[in-house]
Amino acid sequence: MQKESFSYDNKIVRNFAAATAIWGVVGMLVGVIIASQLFEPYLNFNTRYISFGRLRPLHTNAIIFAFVGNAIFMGVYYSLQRLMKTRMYSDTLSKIHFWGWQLIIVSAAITLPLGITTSKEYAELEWPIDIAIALIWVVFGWNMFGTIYKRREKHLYVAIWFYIATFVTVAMLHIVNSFALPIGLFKSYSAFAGVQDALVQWWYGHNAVAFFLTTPFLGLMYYFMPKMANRPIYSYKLSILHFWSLIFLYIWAGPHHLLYTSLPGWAQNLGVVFSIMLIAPSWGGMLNGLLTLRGAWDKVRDDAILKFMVVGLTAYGMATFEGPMLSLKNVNAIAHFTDWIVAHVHIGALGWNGLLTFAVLYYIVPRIYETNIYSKKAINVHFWLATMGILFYAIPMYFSGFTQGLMWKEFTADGMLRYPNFLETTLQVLPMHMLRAFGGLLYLTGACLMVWNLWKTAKSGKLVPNEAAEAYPLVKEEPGEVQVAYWHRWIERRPTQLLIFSFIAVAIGGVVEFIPTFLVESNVKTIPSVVPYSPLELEGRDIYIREGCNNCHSQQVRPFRSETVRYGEYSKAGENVYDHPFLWGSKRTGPDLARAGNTSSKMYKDAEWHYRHMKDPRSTSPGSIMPAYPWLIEEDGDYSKITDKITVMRKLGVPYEQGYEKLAKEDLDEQALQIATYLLEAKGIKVAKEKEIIAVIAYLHKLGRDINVKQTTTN
Amino acid sequence: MKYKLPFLITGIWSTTYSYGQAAEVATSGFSTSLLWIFYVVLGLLLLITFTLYLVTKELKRFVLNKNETEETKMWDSRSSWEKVFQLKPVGTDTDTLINEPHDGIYELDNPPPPWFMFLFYGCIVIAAIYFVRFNVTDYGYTQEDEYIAEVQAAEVKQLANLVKEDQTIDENNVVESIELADIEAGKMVYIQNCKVCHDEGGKGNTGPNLTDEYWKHGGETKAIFKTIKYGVIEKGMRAWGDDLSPKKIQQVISYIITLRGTNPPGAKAPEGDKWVPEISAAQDSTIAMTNAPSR
Repeated sequence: MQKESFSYDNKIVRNFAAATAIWGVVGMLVGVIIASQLFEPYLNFNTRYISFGRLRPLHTNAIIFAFVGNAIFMGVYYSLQRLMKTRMYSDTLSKIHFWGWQLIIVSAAITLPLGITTSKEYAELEWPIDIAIALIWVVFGWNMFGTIYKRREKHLYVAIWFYIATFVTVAMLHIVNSFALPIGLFKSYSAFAGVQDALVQWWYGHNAVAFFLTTPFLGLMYYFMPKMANRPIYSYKLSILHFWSLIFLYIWAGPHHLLYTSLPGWAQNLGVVFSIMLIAPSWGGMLNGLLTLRGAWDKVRDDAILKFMVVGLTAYGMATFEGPMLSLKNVNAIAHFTDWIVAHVHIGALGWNGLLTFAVLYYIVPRIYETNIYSKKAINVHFWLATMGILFYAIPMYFSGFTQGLMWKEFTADGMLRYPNFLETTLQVLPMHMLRAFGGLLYLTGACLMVWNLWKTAKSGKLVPNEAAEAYPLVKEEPGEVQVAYWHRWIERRPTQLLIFSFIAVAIGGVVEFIPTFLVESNVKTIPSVVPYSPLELEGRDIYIREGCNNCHSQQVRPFRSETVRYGEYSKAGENVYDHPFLWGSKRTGPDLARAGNTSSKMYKDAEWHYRHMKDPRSTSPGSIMPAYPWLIEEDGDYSKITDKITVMRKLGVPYEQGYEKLAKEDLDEQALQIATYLLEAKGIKVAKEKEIIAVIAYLHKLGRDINVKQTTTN
Repeated sequence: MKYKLPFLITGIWSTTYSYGQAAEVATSGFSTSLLWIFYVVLGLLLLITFTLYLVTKELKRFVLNKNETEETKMWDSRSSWEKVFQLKPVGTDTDTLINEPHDGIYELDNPPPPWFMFLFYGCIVIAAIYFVRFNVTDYGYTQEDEYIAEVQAAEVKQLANLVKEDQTIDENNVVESIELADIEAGKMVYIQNCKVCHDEGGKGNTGPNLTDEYWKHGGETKAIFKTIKYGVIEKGMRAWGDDLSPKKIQQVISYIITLRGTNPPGAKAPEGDKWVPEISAAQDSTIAMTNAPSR
């Protein structure tokens, strides 16, 4: 049999590598900026486009989809061709994939600062971009499967199982979570409401971590670790065990983001137990990686690239142990909503994704440029900058998380909150925020050093766009001829079946959790006194979403005495039935607002307070780190779409009467006039009823107002 | 007694703060010392089992493997890390390479380390027990149960504290206190609850100035008591009657009275009607005295 000659497409790998490096630096820079805003709120220079609520989604999207996303594609395009002994299926699809993805990133970088957002975490991009993402993702899958189908290798290596699972699961998550009805090009309302929206969102959010930040990187680890160490993979059986158990179990664990909320208890418990079961499958990946280094640990001493891999894998192991611990309800009761969670995700992002990406970049770039790395010393310096950066980031944030979480819960001997003023607990942790920003800066400096080093490396060599290779063609075997060495070899020869079985494994968890929550009425008990938003409140809510208030303020009072005393009656599922999308939030940089409109709550503030607070938060709350929102006071709201908004909400099941959309504008004006008149007559503050602040006040005064407290406390 | 065992096993999760309250109720009167005895006995049993295992293993080696082979030497020369992680010696596993390499990458046929499999199945068992306990049996509790237990426990404690206070104070009979201790306690109440709106030293912010002679809802002690207890919701003053005991309200009024006429810098402009207290000479001097150390 003759060997066939072909070539690997290195240019597409180079392009994704360059995009990874550039977007990485951009994403981390935005991270350092918002980290600094969390102790020096003036750092947005009172500019709306770079205020925290709008930049934070930009940071997360840039890191997840631009930095890590491009890194995935770089690694997949490099390893897939070599593992399948063939060129990518289509150069055109590769190009569409590359440029399409960059265009999506650019459109995200434009729309998010403009306040065009759905508010759903890591899925903030509006519906036209969502459609583009789905299309480009299909192009990626098409190209990948095309390559697999014309392979010259019989069996699919474990890395490719992970790539396939990534492809099918991310497609499923993205499509389901993006269901929404549009109002014009730049706005949409989620198809799901309240508790159900929360469940879908965290099914997505949790598994975006699982199938965008974890499985593809495990695939990369399985290819690059043995390559870098020149050692065999420790255990083939372990890779089978942890692959299938990981993808099957991960999908169920989403509800652990909603512990002690109004999500039904059985769903919360599912989230807890599946998180516990995830420890071993997650560690399987770390073990197989670290044990692959057996007999090669001496190399780690000299090779900084392997150091990145080892620390990255260790960070993965730590984060995946910590995750299940945070999913225990009693740990979660303290950790949730605090900086602890921020520390946890950054162990994953900076440690696992960041360090692995750096290692892969250092591995690939000299090879495709046929040269040696420009400075080995710089890699070593980068390694220490990155590691110190992670420590300076994580340790202060853990400290801050414990401190604030415990301060929120502390009572005095006579039953009063020790720190009734939320701000007091914020001021306590500000020094930790400063250290965290310093840690981020160290990490960013390291990344810049890497960009310089890679640039110099590329300069010293020449890109080999089409790398020559040869391999024997694949011979079609007769059915009886196949010797099955191990049962799992069967599916490794069948990419289609592997795709189907992966899909079944990841679909089960979602189906079991969603159907009862959507269909069984007792899971979301209705409360008769809860009424839909008035048109002005709805517009105020959309401004709240636009400014990203939910990035710092939760709207979910958990059933703890420390929270009901601070905020008021704990949240009930029936209160959010008209919330498309839900706005529970996941972090309390500021206090919870679920009861901001309930006059029996300590959180209730009158219109004047809100007016002055939005204009200059420091005037009402000295030392506050909330950014000022002067534009809400200066600018008129654009309420031209209120008719459509009411109609769309009705289509989604909100009981506005037929024809109400025609009266909506009138109602809106009337309610706005009432608030403006109150401000003028009772407080002497002159503000026109058209200003956005009026709508925001109306919305805040609607929050948590409708519940009948006297009745529910005894239930 | 019948449900004690599952409780003990899952009791690992029941020991900390939030669960603790509810667990107390769920097991009603189950003594913690018994729990500790159980854990100690359990630990001892585990220790004995492990020792037995080691002894018999050595015995087996002694009986069967008198002659050291090349392989037993390799097993013995493993590093302590390798022993802890129950790994085969490097070199014994190379003959279990799986045949075809992928782009030069070989895979070994090592089984997952035994402790890993223990972790894997152990987590599944724990998860199953957890889920059955909280969703199938009656021994679980919901987060609403936990909340009720937490609030009840706090109420009992608070009641015990309240009994020590004067319960007879209300808006009809309240008189400000001139005891230094009361004024200091009132200052603490003020800082925790009132300062957000009325600012440092009562100079006023979103809430009115409390240091001047102008009052929106009356400056008399009884009137202030009423304002604090019931609030003036439409003007932005919330009701504090559910949060502050009558004694606490009296104390904070006593503190506020000491602020009168202090004229702090940056004070808010007067609001409401002028009201001047009729102060007896005796009271006047006491207030002046208590005023000094409190600031």
